[in-house]
Amino acid sequence: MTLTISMPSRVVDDAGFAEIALLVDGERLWFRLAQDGSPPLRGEPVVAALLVAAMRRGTDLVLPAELPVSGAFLAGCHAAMGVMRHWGSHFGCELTPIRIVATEAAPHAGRHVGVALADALDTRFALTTSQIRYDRGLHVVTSNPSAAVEATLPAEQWLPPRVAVTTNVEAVATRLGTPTRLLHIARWVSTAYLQNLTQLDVPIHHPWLDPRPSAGLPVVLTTMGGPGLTIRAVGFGAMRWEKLRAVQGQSNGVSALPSCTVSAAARCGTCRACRRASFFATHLELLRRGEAPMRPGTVPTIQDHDDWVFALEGVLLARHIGDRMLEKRLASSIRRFQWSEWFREARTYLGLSRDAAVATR
Amino acid sequence: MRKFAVGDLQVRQLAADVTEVSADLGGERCWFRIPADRAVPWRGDAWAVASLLPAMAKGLPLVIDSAMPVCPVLLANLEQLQRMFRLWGPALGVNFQPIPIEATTAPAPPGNQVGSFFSGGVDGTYTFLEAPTPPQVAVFVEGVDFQLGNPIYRESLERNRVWVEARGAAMLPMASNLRWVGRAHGVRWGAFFGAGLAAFSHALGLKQTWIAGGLSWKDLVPEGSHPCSDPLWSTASNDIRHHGRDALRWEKLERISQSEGALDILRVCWQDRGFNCGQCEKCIRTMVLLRLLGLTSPNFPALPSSGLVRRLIPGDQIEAIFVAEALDLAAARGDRHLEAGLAQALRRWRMRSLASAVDRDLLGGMFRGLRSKIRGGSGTA
Repeated sequence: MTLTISMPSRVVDDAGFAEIALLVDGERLWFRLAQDGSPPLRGEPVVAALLVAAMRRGTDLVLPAELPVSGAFLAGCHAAMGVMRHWGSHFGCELTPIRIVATEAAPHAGRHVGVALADALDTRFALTTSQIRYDRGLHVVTSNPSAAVEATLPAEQWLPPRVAVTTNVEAVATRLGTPTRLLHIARWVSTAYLQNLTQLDVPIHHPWLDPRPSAGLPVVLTTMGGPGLTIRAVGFGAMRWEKLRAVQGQSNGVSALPSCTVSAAARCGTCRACRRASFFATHLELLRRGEAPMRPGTVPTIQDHDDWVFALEGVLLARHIGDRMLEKRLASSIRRFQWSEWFREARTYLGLSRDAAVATR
Repeated sequence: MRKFAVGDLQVRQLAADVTEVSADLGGERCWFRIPADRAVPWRGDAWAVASLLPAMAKGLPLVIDSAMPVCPVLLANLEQLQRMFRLWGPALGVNFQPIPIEATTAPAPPGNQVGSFFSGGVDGTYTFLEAPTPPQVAVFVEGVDFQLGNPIYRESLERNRVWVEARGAAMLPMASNLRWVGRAHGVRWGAFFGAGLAAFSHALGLKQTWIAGGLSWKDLVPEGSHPCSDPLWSTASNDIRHHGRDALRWEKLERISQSEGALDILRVCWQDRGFNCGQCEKCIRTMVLLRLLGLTSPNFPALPSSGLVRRLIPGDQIEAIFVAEALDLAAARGDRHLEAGLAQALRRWRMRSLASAVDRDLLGGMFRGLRSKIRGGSGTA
């Protein structure tokens, strides 16, 4: 079984934009970017966009002859699959290593040093602490509305010159089965190859205290580079409050808190974005302790693993600044979450939940 | 001001072919006994790596004698490692505190040879066979997988030497008491072994070192050796890499069984009761995997019955992960007896974890305190 890739094309319009498009199982995948610097058609962006989806479906990737890839890139993909195949159970699916069949070409030869302009805080922290001078700020405008917040990044003098790629890669990859946490690969690796980069730094958030398998994302991103393109994950290892502290002096440094996904006018307080915003606010208040005393009742209930990481970071921050009261409240919130997880597991083992038949073993 | 001082470097010839290099690490004498022909210029790299976690556990500034310069790349990495281990401290059971480091810097001289740590176990053998740059030397450390003075070390060394040399590499034996120095400072080997192995590799002057990982990419729980932390123990001239996360333990066993003689030298046991005791958790789960894969090793008895498996209790989260992997394999191979035994072992581990959480969160650690008192009273602590 294969994922059918056909009709690759590269069309330059009158406005000076190149549109690279192809059909994947009949669905159109496209990238639109400034013609200047965009390389000829190659297979690397396509493989990067579809690799995880193909692993999820267990289908080979067979590329037409117009989309050649380098041998080094293929070797990197196989190494990346060797890592990601272990993550299936985490995402509730199988991720099976697959075959990639493509015409071999010389390695990609990039020219620019770029940084991915993504989540506001991680990007700002990476730019603040980096010693590298970037000549491209890679900005992906996606057709996925939940990520549209990126388009609101302010154009500031200190940001590197921005180059935009408009694409539906995330929407297509998601529809084909790519887990959300692995969309980074489709998004950044494919656009890095399209933008003729020789190095791409991707700011991500992963404090080392998070033991989830996707914590290995920096390794996968690095692996999918090659002789002509170095991809690095940057900014991981720092906690959110360390990042907040590093950027809070900048204009707009800490203003981009996640917007509520339920209500446009106010915060619902319970959706994922609101919980994140609330944790951010807690961290900020702790950082500004003295200026604005801690309000009671601002510790949100932990509902998923991301919240858990936020809360754990908060505990470390509270401990760092000696706020015993908040440390206790956050720790108790974490304990409640752990207990609810154990309770859920116990229900499963006692055969009281729907998944019992699967998990009892 | 109190400090964790590293100094008093001494080099002496123990025998015609063995050099002992030792230094004082925070009041404990630490030594490496290495082949005399490894003419390594003595610097502070190995000692800085060996001292970081003990100094953090004690919360004391690390001060390295100015006669023992440290590679500037390593010194910068140590800052990253401090941050990482501070976060991991609770999971590793050690309160690692941030500390200042005082050391003179000098570029590290070029290393030579690619090495990997090898004791004839599953992970080390897999890495030896599969590392992207094949190891030229296999480092076998007395005092890590074997207690110092264990007579079986010699037997194992000779068996391993034959196997390694048949594959065009050389065996590089050494000995060290670093494991016990760490313990004396309150850092058990499980939290320390990545640093420990890196210290050995600096002591041997390697240019690239493979550290074999035990768990797969699925489980990135904090451990002494981890794909995030191991590369940070590198200097500019010794590239330390973590390897082997791509395969599950049974896949590694299957792979090494294809290499002639690998199962004949297989030794996984840490109990120092014979080559493999056949009774400990690690031996039992290796025997389970051998049976499930239809393999035999002369170093293990056949698995007597699933009763032995039912008595298996994983000692910690990492052992539980290995049992869960074996359980998946037993289910996939349709071995109902082993599947039931392993499932029971895993349930016991979960119940034990739950009981420990109840004691910690609801009873304030009453039972744990009581158990410590009883153990203390009986002198077994």
